[in-house]
Amino acid sequence: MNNKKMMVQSRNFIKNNTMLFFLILLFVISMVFVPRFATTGNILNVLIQISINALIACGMTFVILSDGIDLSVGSVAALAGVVGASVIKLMPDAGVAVSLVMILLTSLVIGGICGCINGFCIAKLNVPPFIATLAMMNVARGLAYVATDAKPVFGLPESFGFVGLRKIGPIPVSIILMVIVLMIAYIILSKTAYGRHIYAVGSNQEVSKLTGISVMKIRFSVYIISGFLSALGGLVLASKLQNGQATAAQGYELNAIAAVAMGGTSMAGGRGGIVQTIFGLFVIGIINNTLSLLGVSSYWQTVAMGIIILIAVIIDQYRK
Amino acid sequence: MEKRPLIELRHIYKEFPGVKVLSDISIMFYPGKVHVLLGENGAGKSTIIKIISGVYQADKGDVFVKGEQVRFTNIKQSQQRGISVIHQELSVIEDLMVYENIFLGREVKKAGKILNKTEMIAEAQKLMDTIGIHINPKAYIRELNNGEKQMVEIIRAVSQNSEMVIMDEPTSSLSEHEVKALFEVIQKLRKENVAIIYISHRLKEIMEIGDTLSVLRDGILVKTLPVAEVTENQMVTMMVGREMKQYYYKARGCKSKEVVLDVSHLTRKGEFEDVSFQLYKGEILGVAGLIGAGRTEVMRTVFGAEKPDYGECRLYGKAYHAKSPGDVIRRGVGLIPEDRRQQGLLLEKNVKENTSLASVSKRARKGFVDFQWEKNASLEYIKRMSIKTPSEKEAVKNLSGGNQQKVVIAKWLLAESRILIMDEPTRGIDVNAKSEIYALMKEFVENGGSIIMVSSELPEILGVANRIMVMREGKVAGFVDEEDAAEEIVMSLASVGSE
Repeated sequence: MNNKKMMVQSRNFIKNNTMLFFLILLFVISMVFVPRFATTGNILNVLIQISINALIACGMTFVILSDGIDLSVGSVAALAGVVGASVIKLMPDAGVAVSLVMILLTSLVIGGICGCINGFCIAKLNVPPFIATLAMMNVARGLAYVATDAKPVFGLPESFGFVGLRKIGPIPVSIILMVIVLMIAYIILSKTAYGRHIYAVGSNQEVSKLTGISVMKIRFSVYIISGFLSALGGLVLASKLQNGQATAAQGYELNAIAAVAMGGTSMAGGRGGIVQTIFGLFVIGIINNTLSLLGVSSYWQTVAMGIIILIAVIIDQYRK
Repeated sequence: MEKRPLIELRHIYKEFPGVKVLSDISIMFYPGKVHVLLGENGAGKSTIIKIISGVYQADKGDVFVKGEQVRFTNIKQSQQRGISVIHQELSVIEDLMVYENIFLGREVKKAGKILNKTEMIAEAQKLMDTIGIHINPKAYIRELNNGEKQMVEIIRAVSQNSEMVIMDEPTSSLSEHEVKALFEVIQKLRKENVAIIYISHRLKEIMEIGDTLSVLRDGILVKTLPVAEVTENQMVTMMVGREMKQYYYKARGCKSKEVVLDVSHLTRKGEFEDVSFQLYKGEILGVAGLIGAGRTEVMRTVFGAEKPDYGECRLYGKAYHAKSPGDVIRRGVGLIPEDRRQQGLLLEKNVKENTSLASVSKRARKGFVDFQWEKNASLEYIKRMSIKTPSEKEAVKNLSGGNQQKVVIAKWLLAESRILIMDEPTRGIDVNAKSEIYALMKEFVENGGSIIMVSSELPEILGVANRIMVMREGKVAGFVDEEDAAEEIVMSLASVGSE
């Protein structure tokens, strides 16, 4: 009897923490097959690699929890990247502080505008999120090409690379930024009334409406957050590459969605959160890293990623 | 000529946890007859239909089809024996054509795989000609009106060579003209020797179309008799003539005459018209009427979930034009919606989060949820309302209906609502929990709150309400005071009108 109870409990524990076990398993496998995997340097590498996706996936978590989707994140990132690069190029003597302010401002403006348009179409005009953000995906990407004539924006001041390339002490700035953003997002989603309302709207819009929650405002706001964080991600990428290109951040929307979904956040909204997204980010990061270290070509890595996304969603369905 | 019954129920019993739904039901359904099942909501009509069609199985008792004992375990089996059910909610697919709907799932094919459209269209046309309906088989369902959609469902039923067609409140969404057309079809089916089970609350219709009548009350068959032998009034008496159970709690009904909510000439085209009423402090206003009378729509509009075309609402003397329920909630109104699972609760979320949902934002400190307050508040209400739950962290989907409903009520009490609009507050709830909810309602109004209670259960309205507003077909049919309230009066206002 007691045994049975323990078995049920442990099965529930495994069921509720599938991703944790998956992650540990992945970690162990990587350590066994790739000796170099568990070095500090390599772990930092993994963190750097996931840092940009982390920013975007963070915004995506807000959107998906509210029962939406944002396909425009990659394009918004590219647009923000080229706009930011073009602006900073006009200030060749900019110091680190000016660069940082420019990055923040560009993210707010470009991400904010794109997010507002998405939010307006979705929350006010009732356009399905998939369609509204698909349209934005094209518009933002197209504008990035138009703005740069499809040429990369080079010749940026050195200070622009601070976020993407430098370190504070032993830790790269991009990792610090990622940790800060993830922490803020975690606090908003799990500790504030606003976060609670996002979950409520994602669970059931009708119930939320009849309980007095402004469903419109909640749905509007998550796309602005997503737009801002995508633009920020795009600027970190530009900073890392030391240029702004219209072709940047291709397919980033899928990486972000994959991280969110893989962690176990429900695609139908209302269930999941930042912790789950962090799991998803690590799973993707470790798999890519290990495959790279094993010398698997990036083409095959893409194939592997597709299969893993599928497996994750199947697990999610099974869990229900 | 003594015909053999098509379907015979013998001593059927059915029980759901805690509730006896049917006891000792024996009815015979004959081919070529329209057999009406009459009874209040919860009397057991739909359970009978579900047992005949195989959705439920009887606990005790037997079902016979043409003298042969059967035990259907799913709808498919009953369909194969020629039984089709036309549900109250239409189940045709809007984006397919009429003939595609008729043959959905059993398409006529040629050369193995290819659809034989010509034949299906011709066949659909033939079916319509026999019954005398004029709908283009190639029209899309979305182009049809409700009546025509209903006809398509009927043709689909008939095309399966159904020997029995069960119609569950088929006229609830039809206009008078459409009802006439439906009745012509029913007459033709009757001539074709189809057995028809017809469920309706509209007594006039029953008089017009029914052959045989079975009256149910609380899961017991009161009587089966020819329709020709009864009057409308007798039907009402048979249906409601029960001894009142002593589980209602009636509030004192303070006669302060302080108007808290004043609704005047509220109209939403196609839903309700010129609805005016007042709600006094400390009273429970019952809203009676048949399903489809527009009661829920009025309440949703008062609550700000829909916008009125005309009319005005005033709360505590101040007019408001709510853009969303939030505006009305801030003025102290709470809605307990008719479908608590889809409209009242976040099923996946726990008791604590559901209880605090309407006030979490108001009680937040600088935007942060006050978790201590939230926990204490939910524990307090679990105790005060005796909500049966393992803990405040249990997902509400795991609670029983009665306890779920208490969580919805707790949500509004915690939000300090002064007016509660309760839409079918005890639907699908067992007797005990019902009684507890009545007690809570009484306590609420005696402490100065006011309640509007929409209910389709007459005994409940009579047992609980201080004043009754009766609605019929989108209009206020009349008000009945406590002293004059009798089931017959309310029922006749609701179904016949005041003439």
